[in-house]
Amino acid sequence: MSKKQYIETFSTLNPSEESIERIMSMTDKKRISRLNKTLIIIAVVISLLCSVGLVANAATGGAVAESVSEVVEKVSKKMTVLVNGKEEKVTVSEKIDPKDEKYYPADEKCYAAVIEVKSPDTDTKYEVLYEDAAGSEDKKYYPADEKNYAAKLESKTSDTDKESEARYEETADSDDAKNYTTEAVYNAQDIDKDMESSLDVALKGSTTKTE
Amino acid sequence: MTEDDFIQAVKRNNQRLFLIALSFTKSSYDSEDILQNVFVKLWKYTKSFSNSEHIDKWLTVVCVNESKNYIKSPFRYHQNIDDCEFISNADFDNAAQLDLFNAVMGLPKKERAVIHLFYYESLSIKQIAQLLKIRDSAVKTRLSRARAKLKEKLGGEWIDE
Repeated sequence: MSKKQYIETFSTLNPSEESIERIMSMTDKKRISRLNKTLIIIAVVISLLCSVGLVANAATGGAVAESVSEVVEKVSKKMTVLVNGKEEKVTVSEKIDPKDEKYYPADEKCYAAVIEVKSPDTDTKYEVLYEDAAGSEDKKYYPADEKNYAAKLESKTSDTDKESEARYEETADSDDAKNYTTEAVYNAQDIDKDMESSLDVALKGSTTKTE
Repeated sequence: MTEDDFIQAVKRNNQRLFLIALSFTKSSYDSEDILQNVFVKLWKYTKSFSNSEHIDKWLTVVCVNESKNYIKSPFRYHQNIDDCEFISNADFDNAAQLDLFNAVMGLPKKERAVIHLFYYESLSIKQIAQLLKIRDSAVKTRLSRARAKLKEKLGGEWIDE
């Protein structure tokens, strides 16, 4: 008997095939176990989110659902706005919220405008003709609303270095959507340090539907 | 550890680890349980190994420790080697191999493990001492006693190397 014989003798002994297969199948079980864990975690997270949303919605009397639907309804819309006869593409977000402030680049003379559109509840495109009461020849076209349109304009002209604030309001009869005239009040404030004055100028605005 | 690495480690080490466990437990069923526990530990082991030899050595250490813990466990089902179905089904080439197997399995547990680690695993006395957490002299003593008993059982046919 020697070491060689010892090795030969014990080399004939093997574990059963079943035990080896059982050990090999451990990897499959672990893989399935990981997949199950992942699925369970995802399901728990989704159910938690749903339950939190339901509780929050119930606690706020449905306000959460309304705000969610409002966000869903918020559509980003591309419109073409004519500024001094030049077409400019702007994005108009329509919201149920009556206040919707838009900032548009205007003419070449560094004209900046803040337009507040109220109740834009239709998809209809409108062009609003705005005539500057100060006698400027600039004619600006802004998107408006079928029923009510109010615009607050803040303008600054670079050539005069004077700031003026304009408020433009118009109301229209919804039954007369195609052609209607509005009365607008234009308040211009000259913020020149030496001479400060305010002007109330009535201007006429007209809107034409360009569906 | 990837799935492929694990399968390769199982294929490479299953018999070797099974025999180490068998040298401790004298039971094929217990040895298979130990084998399974060892590979479960390997599969759950999160640290990386440098190479396959590293895996093999790690498995040897784990198998020895697992075997020692297993035979110490009060919940272990004690099975007599004479009742073990494994021996009767063992496919030995000749009677000499069966005699050797029975002689080795007839040794006391401490001597049996040392003999197996020394002759089958080809570990040095120092390595065995580190593995079993005993002194070198204890390994030498156990080895000497085991050889003497084997010589006696096998009728002087055992040759020391």
